[in-house]
Amino acid sequence: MISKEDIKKVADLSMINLSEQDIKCMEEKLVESIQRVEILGQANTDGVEPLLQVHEPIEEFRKDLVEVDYILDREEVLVNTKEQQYGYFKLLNIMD
Amino acid sequence: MDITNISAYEMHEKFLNEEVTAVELVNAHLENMEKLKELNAFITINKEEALERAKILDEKLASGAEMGVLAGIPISLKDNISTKGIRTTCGSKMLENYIPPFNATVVELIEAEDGIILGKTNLDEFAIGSSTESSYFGATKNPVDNNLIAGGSSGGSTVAVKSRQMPLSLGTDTGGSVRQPASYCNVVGIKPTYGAISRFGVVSMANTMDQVGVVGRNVRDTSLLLKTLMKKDTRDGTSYKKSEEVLKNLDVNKNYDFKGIKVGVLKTIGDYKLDEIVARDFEKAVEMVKSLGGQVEEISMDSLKYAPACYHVLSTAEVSSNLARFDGLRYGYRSEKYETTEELFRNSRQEALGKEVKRRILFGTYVLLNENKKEYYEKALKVRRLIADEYSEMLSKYDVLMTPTTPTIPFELGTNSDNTEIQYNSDIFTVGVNLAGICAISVPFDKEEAAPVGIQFIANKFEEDKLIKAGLAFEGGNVDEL
Repeated sequence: MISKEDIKKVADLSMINLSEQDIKCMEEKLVESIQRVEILGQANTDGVEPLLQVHEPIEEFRKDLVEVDYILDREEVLVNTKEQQYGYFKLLNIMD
Repeated sequence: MDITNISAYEMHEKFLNEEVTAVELVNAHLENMEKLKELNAFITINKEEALERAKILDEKLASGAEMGVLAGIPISLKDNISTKGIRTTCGSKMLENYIPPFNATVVELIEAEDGIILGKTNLDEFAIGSSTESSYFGATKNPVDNNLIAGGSSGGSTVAVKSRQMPLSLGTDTGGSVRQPASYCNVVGIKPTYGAISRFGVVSMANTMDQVGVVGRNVRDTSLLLKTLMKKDTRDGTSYKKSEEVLKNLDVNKNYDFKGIKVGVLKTIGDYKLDEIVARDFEKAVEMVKSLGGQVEEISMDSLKYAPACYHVLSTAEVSSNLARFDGLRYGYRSEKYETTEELFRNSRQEALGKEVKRRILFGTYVLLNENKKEYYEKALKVRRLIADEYSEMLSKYDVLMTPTTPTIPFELGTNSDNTEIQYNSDIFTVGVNLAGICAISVPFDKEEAAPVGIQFIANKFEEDKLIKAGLAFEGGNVDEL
């Protein structure tokens, strides 16, 4: 069963900070979610291969070449970042 | 005459015949959007550019140039579809001010056929949810009854179409997110085969199941937009050339019936919890199909009981991976509280992602943990094959399968969106279609009914033609009916 420690662990792996209050709220729902998916254990899947992609196999692979038409300008790439300098993404006060 | 009151086909014809200009069509819909603001169907309205584009289309027509098949028709897009220069928020604080520097392929295809993009519709945050209540921009209301949820996650799109703020709209459907709100708002919604429409520029939620879907007020209108979008795209490795052939020879102006069509009807009584009104209308719908010549047989699907659990495990696992890109660095919300890069990521995600999105990311990460992977994620992938195989077996015996779209009618706003049991139950007839990658349509049982009930037809991969024929036959071949 999913515990508070598990929640802290997955929150850490997902890079989401949670307060003690958040964890408490999440716990009940996550426990419930786990209980709901336990039904999968009842399905007989002996000898069944996992299905990762519905179309097997992938139709075709294109050549691994840069498609010039689809390249964004540096300016366009940077248009949504909060801070930029010399054509790069910029962060303030970072010393790590 | 109110020109928002006619079908998309008729709008297009009247535009070509110069009975109405594209500018008039855009203005008439803008007027409805202004009047019906309180339904909260739109996050962004593309007024200036749409009017500019309409003017250009009017001039193009006057010059005698050949016009595209969508010429003059205003179209809205769910706000997880990238539009160059128009903000694309995914209903999240994370992308509140994000303006894509490129267009999704579907946007290019619509514009190439002279359609007019007029607005971006509301959705559950990152398309995660089934009521359009978890949007950062507030809940969308159902025009059939303003106290009810619109359904979701493409609720803004179905509400816009139902309330004549737009004749056609695009949504996305990962587990029923086009069909369920279409059912709840009494409009038509199609979820095409996985790979039928390019996903390039569509913000991924669960990428092995996400598909762009189409919403319209009748089957003919809906098929018009669908046909335009079913194209191979080299920018999406999961897009298929085969899709281009499917609707090529379909004549949507013919009258169809169910003569010679084998219909597998899902046995619902005793197996599923249905609202009384859904059970009653579904029974009537089956009788109607029989009276239109359908060869109806009742079927049971054993694997369907696993579908919601299977979907929950796989979709959250994919969500946890797809939403890892939102870190506040290159685009999107950036926290002001940080001293290290990692703190920037953590605080930005904490401050800008909603409760439900975080919960799904955490659950998805949990089922992918090394110690849990076998029990949950890999098990669900195997169950996914059982479900896909059972659909495949059924569709080798029947041309189409028939189910209610949802087991219930829409609930009241603010009452149940946090209830996981209701969420699970509400998806039972739709999620299997996404897990198997096949296609389905939801058609209103009675467009005027106060309690909306949708009927779902399901067909095999790349058999959208069968869906449209079944949909047209079900509508009674009355193509003028809205």
